Amino acid sequence: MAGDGNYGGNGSVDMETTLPDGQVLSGRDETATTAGNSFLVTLSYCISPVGVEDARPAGAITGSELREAKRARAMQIQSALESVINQAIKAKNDLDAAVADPDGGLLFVTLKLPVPMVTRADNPTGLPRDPWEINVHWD
Amino acid sequence: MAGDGNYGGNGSIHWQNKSGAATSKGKDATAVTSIGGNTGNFQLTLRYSTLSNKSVPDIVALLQDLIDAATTARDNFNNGTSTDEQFLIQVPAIPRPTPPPASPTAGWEIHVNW
Repeated sequence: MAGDGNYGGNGSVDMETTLPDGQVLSGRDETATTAGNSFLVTLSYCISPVGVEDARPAGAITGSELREAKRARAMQIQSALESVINQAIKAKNDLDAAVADPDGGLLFVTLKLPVPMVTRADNPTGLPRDPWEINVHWD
Repeated sequence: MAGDGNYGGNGSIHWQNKSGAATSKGKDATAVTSIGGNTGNFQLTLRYSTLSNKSVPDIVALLQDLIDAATTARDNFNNGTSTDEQFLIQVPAIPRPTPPPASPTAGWEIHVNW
């Protein structure tokens, strides 16, 4: 199964979430004014599991087990951040090239960024102790 | 008024949208380790467009901010000074005359997929 969440502006802010069963939940914040404003997206990358150690019997966790898990997570995050950096650099170069093209029209770029999940014992609670992997905010 | 949307995992996928006093939230029982082609990655698509009334230099500056923030986070992980990093990305909103297109991949400023 899969799902998605979407955010866009048309004077107000439109949001839409597609659930795995195909149901679409949509809404609009009529009070927000998007003209000239930006969505603020906060990404959280976390090597350490949140609450997992506490959720397991102490005797069931070994030092080497934790080290291996954290090493694998660190490599996943580093790969993700390299992808973020490389895509942003490419997007900058693509925009520069489009500007230099005398036939260039609408200018846009898209970035597809991987954001690794955070290992948790419980449901996400948000800031300050357990930030969501992805937070989209607007004023 | 303000709002936010949030995505996270703890075995399954949790999401939550807030707008003013209204909140919608839910859970997808899909194993979070299996998302993103079994990579455990959410995929976040950001769209930067001059339709936002931002100029190309403005957008390039925002992309440079993103590069700088991601580079700092990567370096902090690499040199062992941090195990948790957060950074903020600005994505200019498009002031459309009509709601965004039906297809979520066809032009929403922000698309989160799992």
